[in-house]
Amino acid sequence: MASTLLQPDVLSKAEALGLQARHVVEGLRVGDHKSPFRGFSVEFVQHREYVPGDDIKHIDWKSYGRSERYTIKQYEQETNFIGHLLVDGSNSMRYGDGSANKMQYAKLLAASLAYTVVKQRDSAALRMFDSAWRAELPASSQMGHVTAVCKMLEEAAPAEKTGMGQLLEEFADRVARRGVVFLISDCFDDLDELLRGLRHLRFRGHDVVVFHILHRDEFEFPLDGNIRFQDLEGTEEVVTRPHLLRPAYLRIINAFMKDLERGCDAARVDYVRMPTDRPLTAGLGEYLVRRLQRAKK
Amino acid sequence: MNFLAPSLLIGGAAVAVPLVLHFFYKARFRKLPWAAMRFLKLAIEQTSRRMRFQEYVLLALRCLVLLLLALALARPTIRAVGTGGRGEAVDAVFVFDVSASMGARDGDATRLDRAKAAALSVIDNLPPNSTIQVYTCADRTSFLGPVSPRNLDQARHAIKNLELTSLSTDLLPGLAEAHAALDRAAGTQKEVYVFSDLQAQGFDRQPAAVKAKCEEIKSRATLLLVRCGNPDRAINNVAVVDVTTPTGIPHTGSRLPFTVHLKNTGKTDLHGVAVTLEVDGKPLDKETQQVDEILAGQPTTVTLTAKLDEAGPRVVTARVQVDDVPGDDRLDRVVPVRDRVRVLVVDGTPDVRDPRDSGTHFLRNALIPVPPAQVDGYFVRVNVVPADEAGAGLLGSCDVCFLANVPSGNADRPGTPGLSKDFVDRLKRFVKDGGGLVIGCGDNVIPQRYNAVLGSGGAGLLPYDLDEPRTAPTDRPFTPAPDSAAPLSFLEKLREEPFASVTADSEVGCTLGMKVDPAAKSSRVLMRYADQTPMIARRTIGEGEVVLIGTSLDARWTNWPAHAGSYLPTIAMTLSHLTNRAMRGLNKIAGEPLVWTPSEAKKPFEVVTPAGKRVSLGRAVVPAGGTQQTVTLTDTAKAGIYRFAVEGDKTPSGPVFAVAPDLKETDDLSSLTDSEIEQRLGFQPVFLKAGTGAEGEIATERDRREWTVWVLLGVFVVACGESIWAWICGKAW
Repeated sequence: MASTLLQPDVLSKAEALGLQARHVVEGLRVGDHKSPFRGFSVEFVQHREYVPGDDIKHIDWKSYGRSERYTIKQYEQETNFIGHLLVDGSNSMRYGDGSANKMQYAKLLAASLAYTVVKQRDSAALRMFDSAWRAELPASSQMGHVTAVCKMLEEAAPAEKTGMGQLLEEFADRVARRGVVFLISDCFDDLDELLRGLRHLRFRGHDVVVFHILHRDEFEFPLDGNIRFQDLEGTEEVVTRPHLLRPAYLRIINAFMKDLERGCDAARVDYVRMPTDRPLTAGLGEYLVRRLQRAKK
Repeated sequence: MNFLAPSLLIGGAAVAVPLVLHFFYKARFRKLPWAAMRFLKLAIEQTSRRMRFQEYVLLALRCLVLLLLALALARPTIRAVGTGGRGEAVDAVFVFDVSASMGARDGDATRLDRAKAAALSVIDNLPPNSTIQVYTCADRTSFLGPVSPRNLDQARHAIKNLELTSLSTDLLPGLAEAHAALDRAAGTQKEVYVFSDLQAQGFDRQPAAVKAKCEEIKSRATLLLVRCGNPDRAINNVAVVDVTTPTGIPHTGSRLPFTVHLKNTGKTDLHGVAVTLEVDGKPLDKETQQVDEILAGQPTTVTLTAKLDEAGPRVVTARVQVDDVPGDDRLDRVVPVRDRVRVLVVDGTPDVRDPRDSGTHFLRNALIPVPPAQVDGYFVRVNVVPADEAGAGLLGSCDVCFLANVPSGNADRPGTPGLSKDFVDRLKRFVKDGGGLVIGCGDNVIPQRYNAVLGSGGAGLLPYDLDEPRTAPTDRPFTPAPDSAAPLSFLEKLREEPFASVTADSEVGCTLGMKVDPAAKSSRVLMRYADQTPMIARRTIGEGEVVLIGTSLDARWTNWPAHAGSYLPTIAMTLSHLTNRAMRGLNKIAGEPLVWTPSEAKKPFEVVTPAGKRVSLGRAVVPAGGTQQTVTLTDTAKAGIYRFAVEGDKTPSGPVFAVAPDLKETDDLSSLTDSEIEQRLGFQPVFLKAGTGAEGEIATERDRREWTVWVLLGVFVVACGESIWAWICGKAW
C-alpha cells in the first residue's frame, strides 16, 4: 500500500460502497455477483418441468408431492467478476498540472478501482493503451495484485495518439468471459468509432463503465490572452485568442460530450464524467452510490 | 477644414498604436500544449471569419477614436486657421475702406462712422492679450498703428481719427498689406476685418489679384467683410464732373462763361440742385444757379459766369448742394487766366503789297476772329513776320508760334528766305520750355530739308518725318475725315456737328505725307484724310507741344481756310490747347503726385494742404533720370487746393494745384451683395453688418467655426461604440 496512487480516503469510501456489477458477469468462483449460469447452487431461482436427460437428483420431490408433477428446482449461481481497467495512456492525457493532470487522475482512479475490485474478492486486470495496447496486467484477485497494478500505472508514461475504437472491438473479441470494463479516458477520439467499440463490448456482454476524464480547461475553456496551442498528439500548432473562440468551442465540446453521453446511454454503458479538479472521492463516490442504488432496484 | 493647432495633428500618428498592438499582440503568445485540439480547430473554422470581421471593426473603432482625439487636439475649424474660440487671443488686422463713397450718409451716420463704431465694438470684444494692426485702404494703403499691436487704446484712438479720402476703392492694396501683417502676428488665431461698403470696383479693378489675395488670407486667417451701409437704401448723389471754359482761353477783362458738368450717379431723379461757382474762393464772385431736374444716372451741364480780373492761375470752384455723398460735391480747377495771348506767325510767303495774298491771311483772321475795330482790344495779339525777320528774340515774347509754309533754310528755295539756325535752336528750347508750335506746310516745305533741320535729322520737332508731297486728282481731291479726330484730343469736337459737316466738305489738293512711326510714343495722329493718310499730328516735347498740319494754312493747296466753320474752330482749339498746356499740370486727380520745379531751390519747401495744414517737403531733389530739381508731394488723397511754398514764407509763393476727387468712386455707388462677392472670390468669407451687433456675430462665428467640441463628442460616441461592440462581441481586451 505504499503507492501514492492509493489514497486512503478514496479507498475507504469505495471500499464501503463496494462495486456491484450491473449486469451478470462470469467468474471462476463463488462471489458477490450473479453468474449467468443457472444451476444447482444455493440460491433458488425457479421451477421447471422435468425433461428427460435431467439429473433426477434435482427433482423437487416436495413439489411432486403437492402437484404430482416432476419439476426441477433451479438455483442462481453467484460468482466473482473480472474488472478490466482500460486506461488511456495517450498523449492527450498529459494535459493538466499536478493533481489536475488527466493522466494522474486516471491513474488514481484506476488504482482505486483496482483496489476496490480486489478488495471485494473480484479480479482486476489492467490494460494501458493509446493507439495500441501498451501494457497489460492479467486479472487477479490477490491483494498483492493491486500493488502490481499501481506499479504499472506509476510507470506508465503517455505516448502516441488516441485510437481506442478499434482497440475496444479487438478487446471485446479477445476477452470471451464477460466482466466489467472500466474505460478510463478523455475519449478524444473519433466518437463513432468509440461508440462502436463500446457497443461491441456491450454486445459481448460486458458491463461497461466509461470514466470520461476531462480537465476543466477543456470543457469550460477559461483561457485568455494570445496563446499558441500545441497539439499534444501531433505537431500542429494554432495561434489564437481563446476568449474570442470560447462560445464556439464550448458549443462544440458540449455537443461532443452530450453525444458521447447519449451514445453511452443508448448502449447501456455507464458514462461518468470526471473533471480532474473534482476530488476523486466525490466523483467516484457519487458514481458508486448511484450504481448501488440502481443495483438495489 | 483648417486647424488652430495643426502641430497636434501629429497625434494622429497614435493611430499606429492599435495597429502595432494588433500585430505585435499576434506575435506575442504563450505556448500551451493542448489536448482537445480537434475541437479547437473546429471552433476556429467556425468563427474565424466572424472573428476577423469583429477584430477589424474593433480595430477601426479604436483607430478612429485616436484619430478623432488628435483631430480634437488640433482644434479643427470650418473655414480658417486663425479663428480661436471666445477665450483665445486673436491677432486682428483691420482694413478700413476710406474711399470717398465711405462718406455716404446712410441714415444718421456715414458709412465710415458705422465702420468706426463696428471696429470699436470688435476691439471691446476681443479676447485678452489680443493684438491689432490698423490699415486704411482706398486705391492705396497706409498703416495707422498702433505702434505696439497690443496697445488697443492706441488702436481705438487711431480708428476714431480716421479720415475720408477722395480716392477710389481698390481693396487689393489693403488686402495685400493685411496679408503681410499676418506674418508679423505671432499668434495662431488670426482675423482680418475689412470695413467697407463693398463697392463693386473694390473687387473689380484687379479681380484676379483680389481673389488670389483673399484666398491667401483665408488660408491663414479668417476673412471678415464688415458691410458698412445698407445696400438696400438708395443714395442720392450729384457729382461735379468737370468745369470747362467753352470760349477757349480764359482771359481778363470780361465776364467769362464756365460750364459745370454734373452727373446724377444715384438711382433716383433729383430736383432743384443748386450749383455754385467761386473764383479763388471769393464770395463776391459767387454765382448760383438751380437745376430743375437731373435724371438718375444722367449727366447735365450748367453754365455760370465769372469775372476774372487778374491774370495768372486762378482757382475756379464749382459746388453742388450737399447730398448723401459730400466727397464729389466740390470740384476745383486751376484756370490759367491771361491778359493776352501772344502769337508769333512766321510767314513763308509774305506779300507786302497785298496782305490778303500772303500765306498767313487766313491764319491771322482765324487767330483774331473779331472786326478790325476790335482787334486792338482783343486778347490775342498776333505778330506776323517774314522768315528772314524771324529772329530768335521774338520767341521770348510769345506763347505760341506758327510756321506758315516757311522754308527750313535759305537754301531750300533759292530766293525765298528760310529759318535761320539761331531761330531753329531757340525754337527747340521754346517748345521744351512749354511753348506751342504749329507747322503748316506748302510748296516752300521741302520734306528732306525739313526732316534734316526740324525733323529727326535736326531739332527733332516734327511729330513724324515728312514724306513726299501727294497731289490729288482734280476731280477727286483729298477730304478731311472729321470722324477720325482722335478721341480725348483737343480736336475731338470736330467729330461733332456743325464742325464735322463743314470739315468734311473741305477739299485738299495737295498735302505732305508723314512717315508715321508707331514706336514714337510722344507723337500721335490727331486727324486723317478720308483715305486714312495723316492730316494733322502732334508731338509732346518737354513741357511744350508741336502740331503739324500736312497741308497749307492758306488757300494754295486747299480750300479748307475758306471753310470758316471748320478752319476757325480748328485754329482756335489749337491755340487754346497750346496756350492752356502750361497750366494743365496744375489740375490733378486725387492720388496723383504733385511735382513742382522751382526756379530757385536753396531753401526747403512745404505745401499747404486743403485743410490748411503745412506739410514739410524738404529740399528739392533731382529725380532719377531727371535734370532739374523738383519738389514732389505724393500724399494727395484729399481733394482740394494745394499750395507750394518756401518753408517759412507766410504767403505761399509756389504754384497752386487743384486736386479733384477720383470720380470713379462715386460713379457707381451700389454695393455688391454677399452672393456676388462669393462669386467673385470663389469662397464664402464671413459677412458681418456694421451696426447690427457685429461683435455678437463674431463671437458666435468664433464658437461656431471651432469643431473641437463636436469632435470630442465624436470621440465619446465612437468610444462608446467601441465598448458596445466589444461587449457585443464578448471580448473586452
